[in-house]
Amino acid sequence: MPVAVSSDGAIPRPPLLDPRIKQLRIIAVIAVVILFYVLIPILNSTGAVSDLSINILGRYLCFAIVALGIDLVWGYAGLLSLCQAFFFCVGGYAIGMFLSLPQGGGQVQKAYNNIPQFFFFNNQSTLPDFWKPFASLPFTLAMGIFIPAVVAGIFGFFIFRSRVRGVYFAIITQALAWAAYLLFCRNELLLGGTDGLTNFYPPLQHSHAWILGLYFLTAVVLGLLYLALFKLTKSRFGRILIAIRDRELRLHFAGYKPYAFKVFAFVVGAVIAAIGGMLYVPQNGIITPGTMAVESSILMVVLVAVGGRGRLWGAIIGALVVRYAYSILSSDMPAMWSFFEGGLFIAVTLLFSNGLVGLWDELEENLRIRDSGLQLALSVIPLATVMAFVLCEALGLMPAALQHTIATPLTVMPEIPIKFILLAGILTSVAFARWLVRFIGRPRGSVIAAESRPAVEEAHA
Amino acid sequence: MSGLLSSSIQFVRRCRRKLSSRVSIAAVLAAGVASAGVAHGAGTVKVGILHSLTGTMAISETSLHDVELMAIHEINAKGGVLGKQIDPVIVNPASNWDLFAQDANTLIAKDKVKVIFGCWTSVSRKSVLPVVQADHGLLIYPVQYEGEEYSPNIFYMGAVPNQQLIPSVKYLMSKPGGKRKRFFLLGSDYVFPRTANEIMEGYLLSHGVPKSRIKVMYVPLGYTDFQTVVSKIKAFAQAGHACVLSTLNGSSNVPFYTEFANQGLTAESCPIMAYSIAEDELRSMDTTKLVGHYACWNYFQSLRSKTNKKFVHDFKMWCMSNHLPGGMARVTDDPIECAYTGVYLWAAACEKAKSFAPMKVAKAMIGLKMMTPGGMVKVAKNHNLYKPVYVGKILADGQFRIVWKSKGWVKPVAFSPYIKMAMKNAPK
Amino acid sequence: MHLSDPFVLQLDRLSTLEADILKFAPIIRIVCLAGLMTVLATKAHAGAPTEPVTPAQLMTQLGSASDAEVSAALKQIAADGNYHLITALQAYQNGLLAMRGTQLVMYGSPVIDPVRGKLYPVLDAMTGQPVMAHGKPVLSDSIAENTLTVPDADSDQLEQTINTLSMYVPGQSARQQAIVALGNAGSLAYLPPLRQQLAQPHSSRIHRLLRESIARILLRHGTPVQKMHAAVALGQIHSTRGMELLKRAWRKLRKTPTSPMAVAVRNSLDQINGYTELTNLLFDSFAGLSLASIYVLIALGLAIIFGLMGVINMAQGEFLTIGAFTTFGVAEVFRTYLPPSDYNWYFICAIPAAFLVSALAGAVCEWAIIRRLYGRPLETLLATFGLSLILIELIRVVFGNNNAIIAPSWLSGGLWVMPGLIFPKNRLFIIVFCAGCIIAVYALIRKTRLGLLLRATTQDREMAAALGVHTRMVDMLTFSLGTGLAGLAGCAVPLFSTLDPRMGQSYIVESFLVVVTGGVGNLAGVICAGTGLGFLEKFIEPWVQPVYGKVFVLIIVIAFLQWKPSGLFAAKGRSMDH
Repeated sequence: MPVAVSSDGAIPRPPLLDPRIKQLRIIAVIAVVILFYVLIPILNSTGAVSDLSINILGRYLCFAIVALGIDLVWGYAGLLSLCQAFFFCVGGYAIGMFLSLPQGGGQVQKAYNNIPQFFFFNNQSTLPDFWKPFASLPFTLAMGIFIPAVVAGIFGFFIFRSRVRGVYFAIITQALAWAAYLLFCRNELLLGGTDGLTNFYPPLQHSHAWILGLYFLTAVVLGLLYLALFKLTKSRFGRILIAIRDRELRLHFAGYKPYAFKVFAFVVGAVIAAIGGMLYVPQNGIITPGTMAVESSILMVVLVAVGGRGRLWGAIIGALVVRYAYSILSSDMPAMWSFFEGGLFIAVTLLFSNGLVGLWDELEENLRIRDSGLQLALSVIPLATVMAFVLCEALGLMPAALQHTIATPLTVMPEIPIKFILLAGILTSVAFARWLVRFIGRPRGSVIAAESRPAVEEAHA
Repeated sequence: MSGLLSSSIQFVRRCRRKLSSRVSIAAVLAAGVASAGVAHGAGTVKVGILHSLTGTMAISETSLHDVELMAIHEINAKGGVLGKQIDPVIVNPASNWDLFAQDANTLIAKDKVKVIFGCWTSVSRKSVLPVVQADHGLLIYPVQYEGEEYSPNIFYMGAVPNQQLIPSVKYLMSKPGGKRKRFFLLGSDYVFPRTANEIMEGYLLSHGVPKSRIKVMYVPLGYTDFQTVVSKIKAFAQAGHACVLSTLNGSSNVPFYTEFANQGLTAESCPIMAYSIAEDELRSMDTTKLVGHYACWNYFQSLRSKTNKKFVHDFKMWCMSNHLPGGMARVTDDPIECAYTGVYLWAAACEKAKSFAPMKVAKAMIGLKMMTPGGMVKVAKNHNLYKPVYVGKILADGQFRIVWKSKGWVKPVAFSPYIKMAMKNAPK
Repeated sequence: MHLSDPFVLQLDRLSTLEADILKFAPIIRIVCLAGLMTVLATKAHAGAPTEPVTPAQLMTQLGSASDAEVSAALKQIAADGNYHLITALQAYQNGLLAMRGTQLVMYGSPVIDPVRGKLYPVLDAMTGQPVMAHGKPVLSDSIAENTLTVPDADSDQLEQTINTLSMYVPGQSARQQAIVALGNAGSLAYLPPLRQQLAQPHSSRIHRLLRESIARILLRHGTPVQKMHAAVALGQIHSTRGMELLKRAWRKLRKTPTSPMAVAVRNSLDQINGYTELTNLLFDSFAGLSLASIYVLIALGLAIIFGLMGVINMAQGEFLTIGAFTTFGVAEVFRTYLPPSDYNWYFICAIPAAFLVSALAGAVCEWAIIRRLYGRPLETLLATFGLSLILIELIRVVFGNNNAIIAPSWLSGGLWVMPGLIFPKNRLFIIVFCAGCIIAVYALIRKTRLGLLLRATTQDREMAAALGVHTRMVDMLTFSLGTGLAGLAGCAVPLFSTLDPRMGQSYIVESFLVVVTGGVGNLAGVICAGTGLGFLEKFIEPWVQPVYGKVFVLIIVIAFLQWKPSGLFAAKGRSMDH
């Protein structure tokens, strides 16, 4: 998917691409496309990769979709929206309503008038009127997109019109997410309260055909959205967004109305999040308000921060890496996950603010200036290790030898699987080597480090 | 077993979500069967334990996980089930509802467990339900719940509404309960309180309590500012003979009882009957504010039967010898007892069916009788238990003094007639 | 209203009459009781002057005799007013009273013995003193099976006896509860003891309760005239407890709205309603103020940090948690090392401790993380969010999930303001505490050298630095001050809320709203906005279910920002340079 990113407008780049870089990019794109659209489905069909793994990968691709939206809103327009999980859930709830009803294959019982059971806990024995249209899939899909668009539009209009920006915007969107969360938890809303919507059509998560189909659908939608956003960000509109991010006041003086662009970007981000939600819920089998809690939105933002913001494919990679890190760590070392998660937030802002994209840039840069093999290796190894690790975990192909654990005396981390020690070992030694190389004084290396992408820094820094 | 070894094993058990490697399963098993000294491998039967060991629900669910391991250990020490040692596979869904279904799926499909002991919240059970039905697994659910559910693949160890809610309301309306006439139904906003309140309201209405004397209110889960709520209760209680039927959950309870006492309400003037506070929750509460209020369960630690005394002692010893947090200070309560009973009932059903096949075991479960710490129980056809009911008054030491008990066991009615009644009256 | 005056006079006359009559208390009392009691009791009275039955004899009667004798004994005990017997009677009610040989004993609350487990001390039923054997108090492993059981027929009488006796207990609150309980019970049997009490000199509160209970009984069972007087009396004393009875009476009288009784009831209802509205208003204001105090306490620190450094501190809630757990730690130290009598004072020590610990933690975080992110507010938001995750988990690892703080006794209970209105002391304390903190912060910023440097740095960092202000140091001190204030809030929050590692999270969103509404970097704005939001929420809440209050507040804040995008008081700080 990482189609050539020659320029996102933020960085002045040489007009002509180095052939080596071009080659590298082409290889990468082809590799990724083949992996996701051909290899993984084939592996699944032959049974090498289990349905469960595909199901999980499909779900994480939904997060990658949301991350794309966040990247547009935050990475390009500089608006830190902390309510994307809410839009995600609006889409999810819409499709969840369809799937709960008998028309959508929902498991209803005759004893309960063939409507979802939770209605009876709310003194409701017939389907409420606002539920009825959701028996039709086209209506559901339309609503899943329309509602978040309208909410984001109205909310964005009022917020941006009053020139609320920067951290104020973040705080207000956070409050919106929080209020929405509290509201959705109320049972009077007739959306299942804290327990949300479940009891969908069972084959969605159990039959091979459905799982693979949904995965494929998600992957295709992700690909299409990526292409669309790629076009959008390369257009004049994309440049205006970057201008808003970097110097809004100047844009204002130049005669633009930044708020209209901001509202548009916000709406697009919301719709993309909702699409992610609509694809997520059938694969997940349940949607609860917990998914739109305040923390969830922030966790979605960090997907982009880890990948590297201002670069669409970074968002996708970041989403997959962080989601898998969550899945792996919370299963193998649950007590450590919170520390790791917190550390990730701090590290991504403090140490590597360019994210994984930064490593790739460095690789390209090294290629361009025909740096030594050592330098090249130092940028390739961490990237490749992380990717290989995530892929092995995702597809359940981790060698059994690495699954064994070693006991430690730490109370929060009584045992560590060998794979983590290996991963940490490789990354630390590379980091140490890089520091050593820079320390010994490779002028070009240090120049690159200093140069790399200053534009993502806050405009009003 | 050396202290170091056992403590590291304890952490294994407490900290893993999926035991992905055989090595750690063996380590856990070693903890379970070390004293019995039984070798494992071919002669084992796998069971799944599905409780949140981290996250918001960990505070409640960890104890169930502990007691289930204890029951397995006891059964293994006596020679296992059908001559096989029980091999627990522990997963930790980390209070995340999405993970419950996923983990149940993994347990049945990948680890081939014969039964899953697990879940606490209704939502987690409801998300596991389709999985166990599709995969023909078996789930033993240990907590009191709202009823209105039947699955051939689930057995419910806890009370259904008529084994907890109705008797307690009856008690409050009786002479020893203070002939209460006004009922304030306060709950956290989720499915159990909603259903429970609907059932209690239906019961009260059909027993001559006018609608004006019943008030229903819900607060969000985790709500802590009870000023206005308590002042409403106070106004409501002014006419006397009032009581609160509380299905408040978790961290809302401490602020509620504190505010209740501070605004001048007392257990005499307006007692609170709680359905979600048991001994384990009282461990972490300032009980001075709770003394004299009630709770209704099918088991209290203070039951005087021999079976119970042994159970309480064994549990404390188990927590201490395994260096679990709390050690000897740990207490037993209704869900813990239900979880314990669940393991034994399953083992007995396997013996009866002479098989581990989930559906055969499920068939054998029906009609099984057993003496449990809470009293004699019997598995009903609707997969719930016949069990006795007790009402207890909270004491300063966090225990309950039993002030009422049912005569014999109470038949479980999973589908409450009061819900059906409410449905008829519901706005269409 | 116009009709009520004559009734007042009549009622007063009635009470004086009552008082007059009750001057002959001993005789009248005996007569009154005699009229109500069973034959046996009357017999006892007839012989009363010559051969009084001792309390001990009466109590022993509970164990040995028939139902009727038990009943008679209970009535006699009630008539004697010997409140020392309450404990024994309650033990009887709870099935803890037993005969030990010839001695009547009761089981006390259990004590935990390290070897034998739970033990029940055996107490003498009459004195409450431990029963001694071989010079040691007797402890029983379990409650004997032969405890005395209350005959079903007599459980009411027992309840009545306990209630009546409770009225004689010295001490305001017990007496008040007893009087209210008698009114609730609403039985004519309680009328004589209540009237007898009314004749005694009492505090106005007790006097009011006595009148209320008498009126409530009479409104139910009295003659028509008595009923009318009772209705009027209930209106005069604004009795909310009598509301239900009055409403019921009104429902019966609705068809004849002009009858004197109906008018009296209607007037009383109006009086009570008016009064209730007043108390509700006062209570809502109080609740609003106390909620506002919490918001302001937390937002104050946030505003200082944001105003000076442009840092969005998402971990502010966790510094509150640190403060709360410091309080917990101090309480534990007091509980473990000091005599129980000193326990109540832990809170005084905890206040500075909470401030210092949180401030120190803040300084460390500032040094390690925050100072590397100055000028990048959105990134500080992410980094401090990560910090908050780590702190929550760290606190959980150190302290675990199951903890409780017992509030000092001088902060539990409520302060009686007027009938029907009690202000909880912990909430009152928070209001005072918050006011104190505001004053202290103002003094610090306005009157001290640190405050001067702080203001200078906020207004123009470069200039201040050029003039030799060590701005880095000022930043660190300010951040510590901000987190220390959160720690102070953390000291107060467990008084009314829970103590758990995630407690800080529940306030953070509201606090940010307060800061945004108030205008960044302006403390006056924070105070106004905090108060406004607190009041708003508490005034909306009585009308709707709890959540909607918060949702409304959000909508109002957004609407408000339309009008004033930079909050109430727009700051002129560095962070606003855009």
